[in-house]
Amino acid sequence: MTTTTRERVAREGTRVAPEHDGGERRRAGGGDGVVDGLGWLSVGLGLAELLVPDGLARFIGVRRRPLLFRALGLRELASGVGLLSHRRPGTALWSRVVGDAIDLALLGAAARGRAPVRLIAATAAVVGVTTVDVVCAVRNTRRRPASGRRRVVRTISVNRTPAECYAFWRDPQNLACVMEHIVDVQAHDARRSRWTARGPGGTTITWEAEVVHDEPDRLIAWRSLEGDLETAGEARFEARPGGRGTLVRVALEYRPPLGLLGRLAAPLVLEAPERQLKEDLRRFKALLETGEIATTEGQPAGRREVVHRTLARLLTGGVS
Amino acid sequence: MKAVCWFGPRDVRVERVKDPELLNPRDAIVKVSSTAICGSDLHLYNGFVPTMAQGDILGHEFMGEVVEVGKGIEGDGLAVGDRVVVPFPIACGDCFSCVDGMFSVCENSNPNAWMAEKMWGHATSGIFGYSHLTGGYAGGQAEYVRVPYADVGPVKVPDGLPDDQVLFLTDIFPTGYMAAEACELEPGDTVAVWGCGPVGLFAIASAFLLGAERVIAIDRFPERLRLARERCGAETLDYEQVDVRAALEEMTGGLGPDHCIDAVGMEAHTPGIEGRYDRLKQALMLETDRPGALRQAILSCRGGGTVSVPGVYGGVVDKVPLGSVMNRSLTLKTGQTHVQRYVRPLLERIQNGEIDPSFMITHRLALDEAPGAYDMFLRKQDECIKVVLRP
Repeated sequence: MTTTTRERVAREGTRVAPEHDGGERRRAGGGDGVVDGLGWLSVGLGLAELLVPDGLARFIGVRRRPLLFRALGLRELASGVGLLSHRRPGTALWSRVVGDAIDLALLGAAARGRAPVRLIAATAAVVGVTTVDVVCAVRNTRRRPASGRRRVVRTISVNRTPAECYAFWRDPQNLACVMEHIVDVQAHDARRSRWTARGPGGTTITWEAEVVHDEPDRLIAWRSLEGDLETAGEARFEARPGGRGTLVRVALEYRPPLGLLGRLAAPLVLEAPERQLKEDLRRFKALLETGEIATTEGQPAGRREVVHRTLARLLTGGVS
Repeated sequence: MKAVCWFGPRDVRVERVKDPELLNPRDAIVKVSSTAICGSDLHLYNGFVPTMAQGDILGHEFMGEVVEVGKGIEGDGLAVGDRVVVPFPIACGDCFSCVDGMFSVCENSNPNAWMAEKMWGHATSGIFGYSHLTGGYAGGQAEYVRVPYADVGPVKVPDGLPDDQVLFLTDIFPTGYMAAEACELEPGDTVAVWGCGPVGLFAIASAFLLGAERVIAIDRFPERLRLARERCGAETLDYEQVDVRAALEEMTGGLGPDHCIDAVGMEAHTPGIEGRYDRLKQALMLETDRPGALRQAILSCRGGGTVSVPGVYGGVVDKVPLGSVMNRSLTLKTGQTHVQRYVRPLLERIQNGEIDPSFMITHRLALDEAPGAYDMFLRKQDECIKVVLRP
């Protein structure tokens, strides 16, 4: 790695990378030792219940009920596999909490009228694990940062100079061409513009925007002033090494829209913003490099039955 | 107009559809004079390529006359009345990949790039009539076809050359040629080619054009082996009669061929237990392609040689001996053909009389006869090697 690359990573890596995934799936990716520990505990306990139900009953001091123990074992195994697979750890953890409740109820029923030491010890252990389960479940269910702000960052390579990319981006009419949900942009002057986007059921939402930072050939940053959507963003244009065009890096930030109309429109404008930004940037690149955006809409095809018409529509630019 | 449409596995029909229109400034409309069925169309016909939709128009080998051009086609480019051949990859000519000559991985021509990225990591260019993964473009087995980026792809051909001689510049001649070129042949080299279909035959012919000393061709159909032998000058092996690897060793003093070309691809027919294993895995969706020919090409190749793969693969395969590639310093080269690179130089070779590509045409039929032609080509009935349709 060259010095410049390292410098750039040091400079930008901390600014951009941590927010890259919108902050959503970070916890789900694993690396949580406690969750893994609970997973293995479930697997171990589940196997014991399945394979030696009678021994286990003796160990915790309850009557032998092999069928019930095996059923509980299956439940434990399912929770354990769910936790260790790292998919939706929140769901798997809540399934453990439910399981804990069942276990405690059964232990309570078994203890009616008598309370041998082993049974008390087993109950205490389950109460302890339940506490850990609840804490982990709550922690893994929380999704977004409290502010509700969403940030997406995307880059694309464009085979044009930074100056050409900058000039193209600086013209809001070009952006209206490449951004799928934008239906109109009215520039008031060089800094202020009015944006109109597609809303639900044929309606539209609008907001005023202003350029807040403008370094020719390098950077444009903007934010919304008033309207149905609160958003801010920036586009940076860096020359790629070896004369290989420009790296365009766009960061967008949204807040949950205000008002009923805004909230209804949110799915349209904000749905899968990473993918939408990626597609918008792809069209930006295409229009700038080739003067047009590749399409097949309006081309001939043979008769399609209803199901296939839907499929074909889905396959033809069914991006968002 | 009439067009050959896909309706499901083993179900293609000639339908009446609306005429194509210019959709973008750099489009042109071509009135098709000749179009061919490609071996890779059989992968669509058999239903092995995902993301086909009912009614999709097939065909990526076609030529004809320009009847309409968009506003973006200016100056000395293309004009109404030009007779052109059209490369099968759709390429913009402006992106980094196109400028670099890698037209089949054009960054702008595939409107469904997101879909291809899910399957292959990064997208390919658009391709005429070849599933929605490669853009969902209507193909050229029709009376008319819309050609995007018409200032980049189509190449004018002289009136003196008949369609049959230049049609294959759209795909299979450049494809066989690129496969042979990838071997970086040196005097004295021996090349083995798996598959004597049209691409394999062009690979054999191109290997000789590029200076190969010997070419050994492998197939099982007598008519194909005969063409390889008599028209292209190859020695031939029938893999149902001989043990191919043993025979290749014997013919090359134990070293193996210097370079091996897999012109078979994803639907290899492999005898014995290996073939049954691949069919089972494919049926269970544990692999998408049957790489029997590729395995054999790798294991047969001389240490330090090249394995060149013009055969089409779609997804994931099993038990490919990568250890042999690594430990024996093999070079693996492949790719959808960057046809735009090759049309002019190969047209020149045809004009110079170095090769007459029409030798492999076995059937000349009307567009209406396409459904039967697909079936005949698939079953290799009537010694079918290459079908040309005239709309």
